[in-house]
Amino acid sequence: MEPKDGVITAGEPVLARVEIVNESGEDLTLMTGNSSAATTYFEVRAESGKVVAATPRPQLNESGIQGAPRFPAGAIRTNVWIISALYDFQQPGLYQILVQQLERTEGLPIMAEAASTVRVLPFDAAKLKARCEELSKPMREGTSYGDLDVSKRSKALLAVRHDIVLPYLEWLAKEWADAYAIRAMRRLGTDQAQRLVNELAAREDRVGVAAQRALQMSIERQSLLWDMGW
Amino acid sequence: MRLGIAFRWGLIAALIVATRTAVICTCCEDHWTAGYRSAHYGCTAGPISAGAPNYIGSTPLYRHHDAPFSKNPNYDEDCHRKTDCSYEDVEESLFTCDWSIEKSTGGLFTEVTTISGNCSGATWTTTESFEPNAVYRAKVHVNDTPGDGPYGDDGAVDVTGGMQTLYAPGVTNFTTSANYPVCQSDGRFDFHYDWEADCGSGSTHTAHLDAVTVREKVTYESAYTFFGIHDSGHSATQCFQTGINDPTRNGVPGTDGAMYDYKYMLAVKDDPCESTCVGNQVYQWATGSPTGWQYAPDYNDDTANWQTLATYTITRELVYEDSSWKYRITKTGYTPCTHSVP
Repeated sequence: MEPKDGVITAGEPVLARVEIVNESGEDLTLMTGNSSAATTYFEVRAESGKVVAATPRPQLNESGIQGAPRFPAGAIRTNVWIISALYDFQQPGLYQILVQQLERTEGLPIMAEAASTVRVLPFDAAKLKARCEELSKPMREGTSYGDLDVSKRSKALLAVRHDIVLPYLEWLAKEWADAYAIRAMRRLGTDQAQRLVNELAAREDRVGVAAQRALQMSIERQSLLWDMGW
Repeated sequence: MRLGIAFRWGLIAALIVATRTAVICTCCEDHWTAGYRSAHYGCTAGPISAGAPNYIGSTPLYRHHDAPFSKNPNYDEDCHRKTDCSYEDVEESLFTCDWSIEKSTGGLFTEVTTISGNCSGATWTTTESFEPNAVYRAKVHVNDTPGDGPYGDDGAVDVTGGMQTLYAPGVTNFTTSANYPVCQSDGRFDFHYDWEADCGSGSTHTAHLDAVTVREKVTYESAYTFFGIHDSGHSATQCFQTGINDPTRNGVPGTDGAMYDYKYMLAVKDDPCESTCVGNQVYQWATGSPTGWQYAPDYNDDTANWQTLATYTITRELVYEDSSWKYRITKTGYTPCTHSVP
């Protein structure tokens, strides 16, 4: 989990690094689901135990493609998920994040399970800005990304629901003509965000093209799992 | 009296000795000049001639692949004043070389990162973190060694070269896997496909498809689609009763390298009748560009640059054969999967 000490302030990005290890001694095919419903299932529970957010469970009788990567014996498959795209953690309190690896068969049996606790403190603008800065810095300075790649850092910023993230989204938009960053600005819905979108859309360069593309996208969530880093 | 005279002789002798030393050694100290001076007879010393970097890796250059550069040797002469006050050119033997990578934006190059290297070469190992479909080049900041004599340091020079376009890996060799499709006993029709990355074969390179989504998009007869839901039992003569998202989209990460495609029976009314439901399926892949190079595209995002891998027609039928109702799924080019209606 990031932050590693399990404490954040309201609205900060929360990421989970999930490692799946093949201890069966055999080469396997790992059924991962698809972008509608993954076999890696997440739940966020409030202190009361109530489930406040959850990812979709696979539907076994639905036609469609299913990811089937090879999973050699002893291999470790790692993925980072943006939990703050699933739940925004705006309310202070104690939360539990549960992750289950489900087997894609009748009953969806649980192959493995883990849980982690996050304590959310009241909103702190300086802390949120520092977190955005930390996520964005390697992209802006061309320095080492560590084990958090450019896609996950970008999606973690897309999930922030405060104008504090605007300068970082603006950098993505101007540096890389990132249409999804501009869509994230639209989702904020604030006057400041809208002014920035309008400014970018008025440009006659690739950034302007990206802004026009973002204006065509629906701001309604299209794919929860994509937002989470699928 | 004698003492006085002897003293004077001592003084005169000391004066004579000191005067002869100043005349003989006027260029005792080492002296270097970095550049040309007309008064330095015989010297052609000049600024550093920095050898250009060259890209020596595979082409095309892909994200996730190392970009090695070699570097041509540097050359520099400094002018050395010898103790006899004559001059000589001396080749500089030691240089420092600091490498960086620059990206072209609108024809102007700006530094995007520094890399480790020396005056023989360097390797850019972080290509996965930089925007593809852009031109990059190496820049080397070359300096001679400091302290090779007073006034002997040349000014540092920058030299660039090894220009390459960085490409995003894409999908290739999309194939139906051996021993597929499989018509399952419960009526499910299973397909399995494999693919590779165009930057190289094997799982090492499939892992480079982190900014790729592979998806299916299935569309149905539009006349029977209302508010995005296709009515499979769309007339009195049709006996299916399943609502299908139209279009239907599903996606998997390019890094998976393989996928199943499960085709299930549609729900059937209690009184079966001859029925047909046709879907047009296309498998596609896309990279993040141009919507956002660093993301595997959202499978719902039709504005991404989707490339076709394969197209099929999927036909689901209810037929009366051999005195019973049968359910049949047909996909272009494959033997149909037929089962009795439960």
